[in-house]
Amino acid sequence: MLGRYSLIGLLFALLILLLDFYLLRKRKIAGRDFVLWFVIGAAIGLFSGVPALFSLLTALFGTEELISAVTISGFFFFLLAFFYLYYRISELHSQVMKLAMELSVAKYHQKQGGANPQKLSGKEDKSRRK
Amino acid sequence: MDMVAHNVLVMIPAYNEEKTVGDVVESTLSLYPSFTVVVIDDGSEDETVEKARAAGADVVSLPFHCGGSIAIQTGYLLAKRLGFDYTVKIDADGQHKPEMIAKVLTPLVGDEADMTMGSRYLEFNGDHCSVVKEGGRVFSSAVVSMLRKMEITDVTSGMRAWTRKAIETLLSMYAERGVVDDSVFWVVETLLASNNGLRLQEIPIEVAPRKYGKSKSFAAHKMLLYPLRLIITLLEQVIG
Repeated sequence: MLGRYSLIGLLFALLILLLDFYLLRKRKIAGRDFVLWFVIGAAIGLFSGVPALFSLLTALFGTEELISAVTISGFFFFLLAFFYLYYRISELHSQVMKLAMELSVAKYHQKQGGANPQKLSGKEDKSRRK
Repeated sequence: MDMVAHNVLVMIPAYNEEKTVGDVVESTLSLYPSFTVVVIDDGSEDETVEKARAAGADVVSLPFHCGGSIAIQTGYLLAKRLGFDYTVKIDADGQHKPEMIAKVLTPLVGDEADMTMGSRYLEFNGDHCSVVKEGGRVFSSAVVSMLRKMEITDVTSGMRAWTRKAIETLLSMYAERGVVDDSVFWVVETLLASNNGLRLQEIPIEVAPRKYGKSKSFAAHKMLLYPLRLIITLLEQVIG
């Protein structure tokens, strides 16, 4: 039977993986970010599902005490917050790039003397749709 | 085919290409004086902008270095907003010969394709590139050919041409996405175009060896991650 920590870890890993796939499907996350969080989620799931792996870690880092519930909860909380902030930064980066494109085209038009401002602002397209 | 009657935009994305951009613009304008030649300056720190203007091109300047894929999409945006019938993209490093512009435009003007891709390998013998770059080209072309069930020999080629319809379709697809990584941009675009029913055609082109500097998109350290990026790209196509 799985211990408490394992269950929390597995649920958390599942949450991360589901969010990751959802955001990729909605094209809200870049491919490389998807891979990063997939690896993190899978690693957490693996370590939670096979607690014996923690023994390897404790041996590797030379720690004697196992991790406490408070620490692991805090770790998961901050990881989730980090995931959200990472996603927001990625989204804002896309928006900044789109603004940079719009700005450069608008500035070009301004320099050209604004022969057809409706075309450049996209208003003509909208009115055509109406 | 009479190209002069059409409204054609030649876009030349450039980042620190002061040594070659002037010659590229001049030779393009001398061959096609009726075409609009626009250099998309991707935040260059050298005299790329001045050299391009002096050679007779219009310049659209991005406010900072955004990457090749954003520079190209800026060209799409400009083509759409100004209502160009056809758009051609050539590199600023002088590798793409302006004489080839007519070749990639011909199938579009004849309504045989919506998007053409210049291939360095259909009739000619490539661009004498490095083993790493060649490996990336072969690998990605094979994967895209297999997925789309059509033979593509040079999916990484940056000399391309689009109709207005293709530009509008691609822009709407990119609007729904985040920033596409530069190294897989042409692969993503080829898949997007094909998935959205655009007619693609490869056209044999001859390229000149690069005179100055090195290719930015196929540096060795980037190529190490290229297979992983390609797999992620394909995964995005499958899941999305």
